[in-house]
Amino acid sequence: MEIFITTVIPTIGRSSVKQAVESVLAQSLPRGEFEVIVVNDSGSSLLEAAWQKSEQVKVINTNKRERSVARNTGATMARGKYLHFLDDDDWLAPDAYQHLWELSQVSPAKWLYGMTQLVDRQHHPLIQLRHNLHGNCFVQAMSGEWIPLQASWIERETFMRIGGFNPLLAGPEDIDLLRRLLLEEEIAETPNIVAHVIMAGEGSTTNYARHPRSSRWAREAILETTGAYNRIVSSAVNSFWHGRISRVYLTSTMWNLQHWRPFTAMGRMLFFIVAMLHGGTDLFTKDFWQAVVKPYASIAFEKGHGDAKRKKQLEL
Amino acid sequence: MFISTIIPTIGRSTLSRAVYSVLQQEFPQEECEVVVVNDSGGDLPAEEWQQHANVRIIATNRVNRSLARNMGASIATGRYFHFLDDDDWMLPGAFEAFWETTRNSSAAWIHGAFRMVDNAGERIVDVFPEEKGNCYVNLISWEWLPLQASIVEARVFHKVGGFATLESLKGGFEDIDLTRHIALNDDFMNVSKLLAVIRSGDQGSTTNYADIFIQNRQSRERNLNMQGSYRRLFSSARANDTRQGYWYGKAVHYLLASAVINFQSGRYSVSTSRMFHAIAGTIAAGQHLLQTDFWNAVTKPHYSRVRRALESSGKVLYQNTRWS
Repeated sequence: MEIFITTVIPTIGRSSVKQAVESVLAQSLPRGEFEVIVVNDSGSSLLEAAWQKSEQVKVINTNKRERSVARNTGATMARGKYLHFLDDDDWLAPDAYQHLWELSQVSPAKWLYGMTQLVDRQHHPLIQLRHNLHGNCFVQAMSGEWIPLQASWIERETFMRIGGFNPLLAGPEDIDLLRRLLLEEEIAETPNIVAHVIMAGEGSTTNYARHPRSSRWAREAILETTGAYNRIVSSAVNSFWHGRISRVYLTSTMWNLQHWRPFTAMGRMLFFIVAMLHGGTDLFTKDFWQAVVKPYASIAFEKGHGDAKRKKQLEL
Repeated sequence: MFISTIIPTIGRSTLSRAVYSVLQQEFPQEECEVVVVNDSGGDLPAEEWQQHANVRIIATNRVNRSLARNMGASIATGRYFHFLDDDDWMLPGAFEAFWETTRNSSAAWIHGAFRMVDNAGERIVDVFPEEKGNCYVNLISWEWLPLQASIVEARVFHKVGGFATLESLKGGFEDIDLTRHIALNDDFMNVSKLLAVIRSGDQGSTTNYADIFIQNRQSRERNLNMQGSYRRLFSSARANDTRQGYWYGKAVHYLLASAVINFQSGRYSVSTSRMFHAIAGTIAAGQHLLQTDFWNAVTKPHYSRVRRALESSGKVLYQNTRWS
């Protein structure tokens, strides 16, 4: 029997998993329409707790396989039409499911998401993330834009079709999934806060040392997919993003040269030239060239910081 | 724990036979476990083995066998994984043979001989694979080391990310694809002993045999795209004890074939790269260029051990396959 949504929470045994699970169980959707799968990847059994007795909660033990494998494992057991991946130290806003349900009624997009409230370890609010990405945002994702999984609802069928999380990536697996989904599908946003996410370097399970290398290989694999160029062109809406296309292929050319892949580099170089020609009159705009030379900076973060600063000034 | 047997099932009634063939192995109880991944979407009929201390059953939601196996592997605790299907079974002494081999070999993949039977359980052929050490080119040539008669080191299985999804391979071939992916960096070892019985033929199978040639190509391209693939292709040709010239020729053959395919689909840089390495490989073959074996391998398709055995048995197992 299919239900509306399954939340998968991989845990390394943090005590905060209780808060994460309870924030899901407290959602206002009918009880029969959602379930929680806690994937205990800590390697030892979880301490007994009241939430484990809920009929809507399932616990499965994996054998220290890291986050991506743990999440895929949870996903294979899920019954929901949509999958939601929460972390064991984050939690949902009270009406999160409601907002997403409403969005799902009007949008055919396969990845639905809402706004994120970032908090520090003491749970003090930091900034709010509003991504404002809709439809085909492939070039944005290839340039580094990313959407927190905690605030995302991904259609299960699509997730399975694209093969779930890449188990070889620990860290950038979320942006990799978004990029692979955007090769074929679209995304949609609800302008409401749906998740509270801890923003802190220490205490994180992300393996930052492995991050850049594996991330580049995954990115190259996506650029190699048939149809990637057409997709990236159709997602560029203005001269800035046209410039970003050139930058994507230019950085890939350099990377492939550095890794002794001369033929691939040559192919990327050709696409870089085609992208420049494709730019047409955009080549005479400042935006285009800024996009080519400027390294990635998250638009959502910049806006979040700006909003927070303005708010502070108003209070003063 | 030495070994975890992972059995994905779509609820076939033959599942019990598969499970008992593992539980009845003469092997220390604490050194093996069975993980049954029930991907049928319903409940399994109650059986005695479900109460066995070494058996775990987990339900997935009809995600197909690749993902079901990966799911089983993520909860398994053995140092080696053994993937069995619900319509096949193990022969007595198999686990002991595996264990003996791991003591003398550091290979990541250990495989033995297997018997192919038809739906009535009648023997069709016994196949004794001989791949050992670095055998990348042999596997790229479509030599098949069935999962049922193999064990793979858990560490290496996770290092390559487990089975590829069926979707990414256009419907199947995930078993050969895994052996190729593992052979890219790790070594193999064989056991010359019958270990498993495999129900074969496209009648009643979950495999899409009609597109098997497309799947083979898809898997081959996926592996040739990987880092270090060209080097491994030629070093494995060199590693064969016999018919080195033949395997050099095969490496060149597949690079040329891939150059053509990639050219046709408009991937010119990949095509050029394949062509360049095919030429480099031909030069590296050196003295083998004088052998007809080399040129036969370059120009003719490879007949795998299983295909030769099946043809000499005179039975038709795959009626739906498009042989091209």
